[in-house]
Amino acid sequence: MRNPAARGSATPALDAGPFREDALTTATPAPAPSWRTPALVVVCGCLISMLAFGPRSSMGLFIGPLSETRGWGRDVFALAMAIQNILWGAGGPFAGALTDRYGPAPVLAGGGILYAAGLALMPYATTSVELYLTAGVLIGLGLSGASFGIIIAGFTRLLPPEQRSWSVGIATAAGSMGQFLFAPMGQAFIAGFGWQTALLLLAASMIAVPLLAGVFPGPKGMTASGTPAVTGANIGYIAAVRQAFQHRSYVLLVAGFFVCGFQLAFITTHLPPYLTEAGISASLAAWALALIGLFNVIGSYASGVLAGKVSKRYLLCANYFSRGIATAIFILLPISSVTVIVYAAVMGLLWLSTVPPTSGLVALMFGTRYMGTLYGFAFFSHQVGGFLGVWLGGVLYERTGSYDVVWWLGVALAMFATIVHWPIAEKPAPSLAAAEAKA
Amino acid sequence: MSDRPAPSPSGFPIGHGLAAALFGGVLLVWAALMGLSLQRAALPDATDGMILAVFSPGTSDAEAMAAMVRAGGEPVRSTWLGFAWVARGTEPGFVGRLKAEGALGAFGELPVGPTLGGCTATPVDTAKIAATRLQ
Repeated sequence: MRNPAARGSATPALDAGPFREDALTTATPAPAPSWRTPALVVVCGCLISMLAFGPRSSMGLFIGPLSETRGWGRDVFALAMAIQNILWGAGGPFAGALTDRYGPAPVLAGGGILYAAGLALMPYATTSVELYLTAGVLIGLGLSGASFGIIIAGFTRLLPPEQRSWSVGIATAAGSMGQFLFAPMGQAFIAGFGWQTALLLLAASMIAVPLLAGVFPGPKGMTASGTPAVTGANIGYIAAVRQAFQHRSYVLLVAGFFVCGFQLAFITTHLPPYLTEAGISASLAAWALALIGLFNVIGSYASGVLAGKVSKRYLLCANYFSRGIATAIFILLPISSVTVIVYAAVMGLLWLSTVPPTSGLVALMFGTRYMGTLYGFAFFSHQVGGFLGVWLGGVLYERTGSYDVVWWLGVALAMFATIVHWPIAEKPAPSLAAAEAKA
Repeated sequence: MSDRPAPSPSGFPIGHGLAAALFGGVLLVWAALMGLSLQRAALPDATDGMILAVFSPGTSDAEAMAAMVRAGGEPVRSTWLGFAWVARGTEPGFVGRLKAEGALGAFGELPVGPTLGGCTATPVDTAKIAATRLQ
């Protein structure tokens, strides 16, 4: 299952076979090397990914002090976070379209500024509406502009096909690492400076995003070899989206990504109470989440490396199948410290490992011209799945008195995702390949 | 990614080395920021009451408990960090005496705890799970 593209160059290849990521590339004479070297862009992109994911992972730390100070119930903060998450997903396709039109730099910069503004204004929110506008709307829209979806679109255009999966892997791993590192730092900031100043410090860290975004090249991108990396026919955004949703493989991919969001959000929210109800200490429950975060860094990076070497759809099939099996074993076995730790480590390895092969398949099917938009729609599906995972987990628990139904639903969805990824055609979508050939 | 990552035009190779250098550098910056924040969060020597006493990693339970008693306080409970203890001292200057007995510092609440990494997290109330509020 070695990927032929992994050893290929960025030469034009209209008749590319399966797995060919550099199909539909139009070569032009190589310009002089730019100061925007791939290594520099990758480093800055990863730092942005860390910064964007970091403060968001610290949000839970502010529930207590903010609610206490303002006299709010936890529901106020929870709704603000729900708004944030859904706007992050809903804003994804639009931020992606802007990236495809103007390049990643202005979108990342705008996202970073919105994110910083949301964090900086949170301490001054004295009404629930103000919190919804700052923590919810501003940070949610900031995330859609400054998180890894835009970074991935930027990397995909910058780097040659054989390095794209790796670059997506490192960007995803960087985001995971940001979450892992920022959470204790947020706690330390609160302890050292108070919660209001802690939020201002987090906001200040986001100011780096527009500066780092400046290294990304313009909308046409440029591969390391100097050839433009924008591939795929120029058919307009609406036509691109319509054709994507008429392409069976893309629909299957988007459906599978929904499952990823469902499982992750359910586990994130409901694993700690599930464990404590089963007699596991709150401390071990927290460690289980930390282990997921730690192994997520390793899994994301490894997935990026693997996605450049083996079939991406098989990688996704293996991921979802493993999630289903691991979850089934976990809920069938008696819960103990060992099963909790092993399950957390396994789920951590599989956690965001879906991102490199999923984004790689989008680029392979449609080229990189509408990468931001089309990956944005896939990510929106992921976020809708996440919303349902959290919500259904709570609703079904209230109705049945246990999480068993949702756990088994997660297993069934994992098998569903395994099945839907299997028939995905790992090659350029015929309609777009034909349009490019016509042009 | 190919088996041998191609060098970028700058000559810096894109591959595992870059990843290791990046993550290593980030960890160093993070450690420095954490150090500064923890230093700032430390309680002054004159403090008494319920505190979190932090000893050197590797300090045995017996050594930590003896130090807390010698400082005029009492151990309340251990934490998930083996070298950090919740302790109580009723006399002013308890923190200063603890330091004299070998504690690295004392805090009002546990400023470091295991929390989540995830991509669609609805935040867990980490203030409840990971932070130990003492006062």
